[in-house]
Amino acid sequence: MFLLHFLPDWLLSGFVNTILVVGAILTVLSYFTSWIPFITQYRVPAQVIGLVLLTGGVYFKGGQAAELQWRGRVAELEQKIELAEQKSKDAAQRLNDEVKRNKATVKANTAAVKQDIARDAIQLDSECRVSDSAITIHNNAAANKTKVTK
Amino acid sequence: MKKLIAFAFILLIGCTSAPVKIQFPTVPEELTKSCGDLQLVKEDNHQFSNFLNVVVDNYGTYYECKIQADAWQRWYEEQKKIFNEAFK
Repeated sequence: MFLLHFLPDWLLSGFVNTILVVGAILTVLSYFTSWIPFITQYRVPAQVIGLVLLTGGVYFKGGQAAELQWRGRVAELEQKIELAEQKSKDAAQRLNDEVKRNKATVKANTAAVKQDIARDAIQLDSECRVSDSAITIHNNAAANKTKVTK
Repeated sequence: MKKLIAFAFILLIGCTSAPVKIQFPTVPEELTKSCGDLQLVKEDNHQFSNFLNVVVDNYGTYYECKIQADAWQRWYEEQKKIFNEAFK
């Protein structure tokens, strides 16, 4: 049945309907038109072929209905996925822009604070000298070192 | 025997095909950047202004990294919501 996946809907429907209709017509003719001489001659083969085609047609009709139902579900799922992927891209783009904006704000704030430091540098440096120990402690903390050396 | 093998192969093809595929969501470019390292104070520079500059730079690095970490969490929550809404 999986081979049905490769056939387009119209071809599948046409094939199944043809088998079903031909089978039904042949069966009806072979059983109920025995008074026609031409049919009477080929009655038994027509009955066999008609019943085989009718049975096959009914079987394929069921298979086709299931196949079309699955195709419908797949199409629905593909549509949902496409929509979700688009939403995902939009959300990612929005977030990317927001992160970029926020980082730029941080950079601007840092630059502004450093300008304040530069403005008051002379006063700051005259009032306070950073000791070797303070620099070491800071650098150890910044480098994530556990051992504090003096 | 050859026909039987060919038939079995055809059946296997039917088992391996997946009709619907979903792509893993793309991560925003800004989130893929690494957080910068914290700066160290030059040991021969004892000026307080220099020390403050390094501290301020490090605060900036922290805030940029925080923005990125928070954005990762938000990205995950948003993508989870989109995925769950699509398949509920």
